[in-house]
Amino acid sequence: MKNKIISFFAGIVISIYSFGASAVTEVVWWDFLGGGDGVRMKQMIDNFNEAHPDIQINATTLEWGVPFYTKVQTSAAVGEQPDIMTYHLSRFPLAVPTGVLRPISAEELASVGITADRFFPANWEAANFGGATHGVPLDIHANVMYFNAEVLGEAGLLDENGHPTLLDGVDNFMNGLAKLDEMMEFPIGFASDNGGMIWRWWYSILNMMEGDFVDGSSICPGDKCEKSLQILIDLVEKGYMPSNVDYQSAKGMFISGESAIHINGVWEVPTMVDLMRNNELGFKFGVVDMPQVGPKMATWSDSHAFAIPHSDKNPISDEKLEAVLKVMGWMSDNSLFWGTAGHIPANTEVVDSVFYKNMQPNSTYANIGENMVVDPFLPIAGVASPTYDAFSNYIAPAVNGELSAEEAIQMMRDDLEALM
Amino acid sequence: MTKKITISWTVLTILSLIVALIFMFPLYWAAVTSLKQETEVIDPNWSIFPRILSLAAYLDVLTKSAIGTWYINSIATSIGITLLVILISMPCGYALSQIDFVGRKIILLAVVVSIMVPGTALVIALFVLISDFNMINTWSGVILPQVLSPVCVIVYKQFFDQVPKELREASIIDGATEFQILIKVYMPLNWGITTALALVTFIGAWNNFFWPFIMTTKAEMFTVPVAITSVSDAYGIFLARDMAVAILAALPVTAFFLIFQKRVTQAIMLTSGIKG
Amino acid sequence: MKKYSNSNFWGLLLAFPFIFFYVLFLLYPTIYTLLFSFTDSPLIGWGKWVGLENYFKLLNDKLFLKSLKNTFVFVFWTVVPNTLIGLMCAMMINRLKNPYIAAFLLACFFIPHILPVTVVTQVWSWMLSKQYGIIQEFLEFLGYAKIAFFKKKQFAMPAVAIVTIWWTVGFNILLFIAGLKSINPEIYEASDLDGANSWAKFRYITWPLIWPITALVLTLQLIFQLKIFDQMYLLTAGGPFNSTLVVLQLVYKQGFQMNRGGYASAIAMVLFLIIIVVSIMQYYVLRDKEKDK
Repeated sequence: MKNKIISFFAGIVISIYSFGASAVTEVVWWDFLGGGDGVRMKQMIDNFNEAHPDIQINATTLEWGVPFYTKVQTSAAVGEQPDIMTYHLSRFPLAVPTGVLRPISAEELASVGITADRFFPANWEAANFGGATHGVPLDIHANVMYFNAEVLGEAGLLDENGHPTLLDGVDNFMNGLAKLDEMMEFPIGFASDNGGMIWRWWYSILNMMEGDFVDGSSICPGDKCEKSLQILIDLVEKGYMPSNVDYQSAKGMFISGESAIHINGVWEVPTMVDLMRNNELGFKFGVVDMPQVGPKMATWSDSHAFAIPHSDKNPISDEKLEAVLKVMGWMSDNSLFWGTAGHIPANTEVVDSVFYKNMQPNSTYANIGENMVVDPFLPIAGVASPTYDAFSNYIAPAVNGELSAEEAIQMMRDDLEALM
Repeated sequence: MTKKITISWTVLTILSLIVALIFMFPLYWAAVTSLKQETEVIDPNWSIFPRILSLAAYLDVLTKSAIGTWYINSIATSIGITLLVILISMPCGYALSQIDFVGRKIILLAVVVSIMVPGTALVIALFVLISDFNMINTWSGVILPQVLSPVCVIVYKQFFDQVPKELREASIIDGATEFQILIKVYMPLNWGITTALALVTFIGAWNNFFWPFIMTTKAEMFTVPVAITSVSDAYGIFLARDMAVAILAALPVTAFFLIFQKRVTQAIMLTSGIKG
Repeated sequence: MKKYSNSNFWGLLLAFPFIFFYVLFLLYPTIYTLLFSFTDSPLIGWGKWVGLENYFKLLNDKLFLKSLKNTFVFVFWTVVPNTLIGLMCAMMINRLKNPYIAAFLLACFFIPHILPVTVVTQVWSWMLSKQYGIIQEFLEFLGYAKIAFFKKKQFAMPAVAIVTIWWTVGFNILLFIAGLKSINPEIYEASDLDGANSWAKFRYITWPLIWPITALVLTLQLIFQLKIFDQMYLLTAGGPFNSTLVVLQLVYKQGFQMNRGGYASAIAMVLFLIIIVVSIMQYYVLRDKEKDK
């Protein structure tokens, strides 16, 4: 009956059914990589395609975050998923139980030279959430502080080595900002309307203060969550950073020299490097660890990984799987170039290589590796998770003066505890 | 007295022109932005007209995005929807207007009732249905949820009701079938209505965001309105480019409207219940 | 109506395509949604039958109640202003003596209505952008601080409403102009002789005579705006703190993001019923007015 209906429709409705049989295996690729990431990934895809005449990657970039992961989930449900996709390791605890990620066996991985010993142990462990390998890590990316060396120098906030001096302790940080505040309207360019960006900074601060996000089934035990949030609220209230700035504008504020400090991920390093190379950046910039505002140093981090979406309705064919594995292996082997996108490659051999060690300015923040903290391994956390949702919905308004820290944390607590 | 009236008319005319210009300003501003260079767009010393006219944003869109594919998807699905709506609605309107057959009253009632039914509230079921047909990410999947237009049936019925009965009776005596009467008598007499309905259906289909947004998950199947907010391949700041995409998306329907203004407005009044 | 020998055959044949699509894309999905709403199904595939559980859950779902409230708040912010502004602009255009200027003005007001919603939201995001929006320059000129319109609780809903009015008011203007044109000018001339002023003319002639159109516009707007999804999804995505989350967006969120097809269907059924009730009210309002004529 169903077939009859389908053929009936095929008869009366103009439809598209392209892609006949051919010798080249097409690999449908989805990613969410914009900005400098996007440019570099396109380059890598082109390089791959050139080196592999029998495999052709057909890449699409969708909007980062919720739109991307919603499309992935919906597509997999109806058997229209891509063959390979980028996926955040932080989202694995949420994704693995839904079955949207196809486990990749050790033999399959070994066939293209991917073995556990070539990755950072913690990273590999995260990729193996749920007892099987569900993706191959590409990189580790963390939050850093970009600074305008000229302005900081003028304000007397650089030591003799050109290293910022306002990074040690919350008072020191605030005092430094107060000095900068006399020179400019907003010392910090930060995407204060962006729940994801706030999460990354806030979660770093929470860990610096040795606070917990989750304890058993309770969210934000104690008052460290509120205290961490209060620091960000203060920054806006004191006029050190503007409220409700979107991502592009925050970056623009730093690039144009309006703000001397920019808190963002390492993925914007290439943007700055490229601008500098083209003489479009009117100043010398530097990248360092996040300002330490608590007793301990901590930096939020996450990883991009490659994963194979799974659909019961339309599982990946052997031919495509073979091609996809080749892509994964090649990308991992060649992730040195991905390092130029600011990220730390997940492949330890690449990181240990001389080429990477000489890469600038990446080597200046290489020590963040020691202080990295990842999102809690819970189905409620990770990119485009209920936690991210709560950050856009409640925490961002708090940072921007719409709610108090207590109110916002409580609203988030109510939402998230209901899901635990 | 006459002089006073002339002055007040002039004032009124000027005032309304000012209101209209303010109303149009967002579109002007979008167009101007799209013709600026990205660096000028974010320059705090903004100007109401580009300092340097630049087509860079348009070139960027045309060369670096898949806008050609999205146009093809939009055109194909909009034409598909328009044709199907007309082909489905006209015969039904004719049957309800001219033929006394079993179930006519029930069907008429069903049509009238269905005007009230909000299709978007059925999104889950329609998504599952289209998925069962394996039509997610196909033109058919975008087209099918949009082909049911009870309003068009009613408009056709109303217009066919007004055709003099003698014409039909003469044809019957000549031995024409109902189908021939529809094609040879009723359809030619109501070309204006068909054009008008086709135009609004086309514009509505071109503009629809919801159904293509739900029924497509692959970028190469997106229609223009969906693609411009769902696909990002940006590098740096790209505000001029965003506006260029918006202008390119708006161009076909705007041109359509300006060319067929009378017909479009007539059809809108017809479909909203005012007899034109 | 003269009976043709094969009238049953031809009638059903010609109506068949419509009936076919009607059953497949309207009747079937309606029944499906209703049945689905009694289950705990994911988006694709059937789950367990849970009876009315989803509906009971709805009664205690703060987010659902909030989305319901937000939808009605949005309707309040759009329907009445949109109708009144439409009437005012229509009267303004209708008074112009020069037909070319009148046509030009009508085109100006109508063009936004034929634009895709994404174009409208892109243009307005740019107009109202916190950093670079031209409206911000205007606010600064007036001595106000910059406002993140779609991020502030007190501004988000009205801002989306203003964008919506800008987008759709042309439609209302069009209907009102048609209505105003149908008023016999002799009635106004007669009232001139009686010495009626402009307000009196509006109050005692225009308003009562235009009422059927007003009622039509009001109800069309009401049904249309209850289905709000696109602009909200694109401009505020429901934030800040769910203050602009609307019913259809909750359906999308529950169904497509959280993979709860059954629960999403229950929410959809409630919206479905609300719109049906409003439509029936519209039917009676308009029918009574027809009788008055």
